[in-house]
Amino acid sequence: MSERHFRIVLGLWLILGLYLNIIEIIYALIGLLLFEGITNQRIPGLITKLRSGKKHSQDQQAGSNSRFSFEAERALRFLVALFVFLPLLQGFEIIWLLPWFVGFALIGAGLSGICPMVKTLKHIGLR
Amino acid sequence: MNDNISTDTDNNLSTKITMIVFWGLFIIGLGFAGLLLHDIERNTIERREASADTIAYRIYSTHLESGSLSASIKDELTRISTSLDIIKIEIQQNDKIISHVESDVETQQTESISRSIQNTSAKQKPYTLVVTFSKLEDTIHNERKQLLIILGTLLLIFGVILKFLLERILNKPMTEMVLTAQEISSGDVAQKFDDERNDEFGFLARFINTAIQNMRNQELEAYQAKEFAEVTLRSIGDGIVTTDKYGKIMFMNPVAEELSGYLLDEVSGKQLTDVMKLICEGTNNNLPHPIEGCLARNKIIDIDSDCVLVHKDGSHIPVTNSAAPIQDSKKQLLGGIMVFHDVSEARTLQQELSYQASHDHLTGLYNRREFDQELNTALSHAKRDKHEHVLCYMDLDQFKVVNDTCGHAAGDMLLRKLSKKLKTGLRKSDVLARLGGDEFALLLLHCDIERAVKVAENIHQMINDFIFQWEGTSCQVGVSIGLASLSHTFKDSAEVLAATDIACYTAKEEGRNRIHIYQADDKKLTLRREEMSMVGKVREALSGNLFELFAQPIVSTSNVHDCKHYELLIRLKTEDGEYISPARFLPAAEKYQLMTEIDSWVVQNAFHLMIDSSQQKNDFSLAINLSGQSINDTKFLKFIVDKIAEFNLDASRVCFEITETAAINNLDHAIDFIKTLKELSCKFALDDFGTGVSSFEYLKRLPVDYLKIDGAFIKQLDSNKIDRAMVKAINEVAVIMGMKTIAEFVENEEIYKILNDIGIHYAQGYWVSKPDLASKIIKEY
Repeated sequence: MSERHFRIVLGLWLILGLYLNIIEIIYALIGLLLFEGITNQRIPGLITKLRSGKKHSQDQQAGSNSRFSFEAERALRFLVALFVFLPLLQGFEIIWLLPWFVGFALIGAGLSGICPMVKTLKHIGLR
Repeated sequence: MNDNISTDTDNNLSTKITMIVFWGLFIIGLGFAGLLLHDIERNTIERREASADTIAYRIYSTHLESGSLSASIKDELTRISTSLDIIKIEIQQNDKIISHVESDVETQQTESISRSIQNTSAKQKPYTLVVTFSKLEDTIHNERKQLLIILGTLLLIFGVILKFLLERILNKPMTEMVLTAQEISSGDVAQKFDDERNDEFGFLARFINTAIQNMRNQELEAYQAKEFAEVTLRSIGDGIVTTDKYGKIMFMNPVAEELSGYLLDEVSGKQLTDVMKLICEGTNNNLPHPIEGCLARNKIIDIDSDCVLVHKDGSHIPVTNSAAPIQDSKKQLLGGIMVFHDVSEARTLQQELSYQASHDHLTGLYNRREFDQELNTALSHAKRDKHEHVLCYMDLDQFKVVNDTCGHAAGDMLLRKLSKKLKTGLRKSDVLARLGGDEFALLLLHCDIERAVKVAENIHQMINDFIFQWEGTSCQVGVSIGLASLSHTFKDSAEVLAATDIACYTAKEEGRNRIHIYQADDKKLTLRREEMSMVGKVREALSGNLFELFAQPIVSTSNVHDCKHYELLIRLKTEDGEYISPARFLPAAEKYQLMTEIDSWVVQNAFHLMIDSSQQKNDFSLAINLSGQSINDTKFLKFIVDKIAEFNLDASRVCFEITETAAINNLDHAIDFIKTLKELSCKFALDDFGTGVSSFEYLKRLPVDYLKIDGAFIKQLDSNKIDRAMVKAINEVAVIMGMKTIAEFVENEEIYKILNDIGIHYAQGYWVSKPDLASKIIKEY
């Protein structure tokens, strides 16, 4: 599984949870993203590793030229978790559109193969 | 650049299209959705209010006409509630529900809107309409979800389709062009841009393909021209190296590689000045590299003729060298070209020629020409720096004996060996030369006369100790040495050489095999110098026809007026018009082997005189004096024979006088000479008889016609009986041998009469006539 596929699946699940208003799915996704962000053990890599025993491309990018050693993909996980979680809090209902936006953005990133957030993070200097 | 295009997904065209189109559309779409959702609450409330109003109006207008609700009200309410998303509709009167409609939707939280409907019957109380909706927030939430799902899905689909189309229309052909460009850049010349498309990419592809083809054609032409130029350069017999404008090697032809020892691949890009060292042949000092000057000054530089190229292996190759700038059409410097040619053979030949021109081929010593230069240089240094140098002039004694007895090969060998010996004891600064024959000269630089004498003595001793062996014969030679210190009084090398020559001659005259030092006030040397001065005058006279022929009559002793014979005498006319007597210049001429030339001049002019005077007098004869040198010269004999034939002369009118000494020195040769000319009818007289060897034996062998008795016997003939007896005896012998006698120095009439009495045939002397110009005296006497 590639990051593209993962983003599509993640986006679909998020949109599904929002549409059906199943809060458990939302929390589960937040939990998954936090897990990935904290441990840097990402689902696409783990699945690829399990399937073929190969290392995921995240390691191949280890030597790229960047200001920070923190990976953009990890940061993306934290940001997505934050954007989805934030409207759930009391007083933040006004930004109810944000999880929807994130959900569709994840699907779009998966379909187009280009994630503007990751690009922005890399532009900032993350690996 | 190529790598960036292929790998950097952040900047490629696809990414940009995606970012701009897809994400732009996405964000705009969601923004638009946000705007739509912003008014959804107000719209829902208004819609609900309107729904309540609409239901109330329908109930009022359709169902209260009779003043009471119709039976079909429930069906109507059910239809309305279904279409207007209403959960429940109640009609109350007096707080009593009179009609009730409820949808199947279950909801816990609801909101109600009430409307009062006036009854058409004034007596009845108005109805209250209560319309119950689901909770407003739930409705809004559902509507948002529906809108977002639909809009998001449409945007995603539309974005993907748009991206796909744009990528197909723009990105794909562009990417193909980029890939083609990459392959062309990587050297795949078979690649072409797809020019079959009819859009802008097709136009661009055709344009680029044409441009590339033109560029390739030009490149091919340039390559062919370059190939041709390189082949031409490779074919040239000279070494050629081209550099860029910084002097770094770009090209070398095979000749340059061979001469330098470096291959082009080995030195390409290196500084030419570091690779090819040029040095001066004589000093081995580095020469300024012509390519440096050429590039610095942008003009052609020719290098010094003594240039030597240092080969890679360290060997030296003489070369001629030049460098020229390579310029473009605007005279801007592009680089330089150095052309050099191996001149080893020419340089060797030149050195050999130079050596031969300056050295004696037999001994390897300097020759006269080179020595003259050295001497002049030393002389100028002596005058300028007041340094003392000494010239040592050496003439081998008895060398002619070696040549005559052992042959010229032996003489040459002797000279070679002696030259080697002479060189051994000398300093490096001393200059030894062979001036010619057996004459050597040694220039002792920075040497005073005392030390020079010691050197000369050593040489003298060394030569005296040297015994030359040749085919079992031992020969020994001596040396006469003349020394002269180079002083300011000498004008040039010729004067110095003349001075040492005089000193050497003096040494020879003093008994040979000794040393004589030249001094300006030396009497012998002064005499010798006068002789040499006279030799110069003789040479001038010969070349400038400055001699004059005088003649003295020889008369019969029986009749003093009977004059048919004249003795020709020579005089040297000076610039002042005075005459120098032969006694002054003939000895010098004899010493310097000029007698044959003088005799030739006399013979030539005597014959002219005979021809010219024939009109006045054609029965006279002329007596011409010949020297021993002329008699011994076979060329001179031929000269006389040729001249007699040339002038068509009656040879019997010519009498040649030869001295007793000259004839006897080479008697056989003299006899042959006399016989040859006598065959042409020439006469001969033996001059000065009685004072020389005076052997009648010689007289017997010499076939002469006249015997000239020396004046020493005649001068006192009138008073000296012995002289008279001797003259009488000589005359008797001569008469018996068939000769006629001539008496010289007849200074008075009495002697003349005595001579007649004795029987002498002819008389000559001042009493008869003094010598005078030949043409004049022959005419007058």
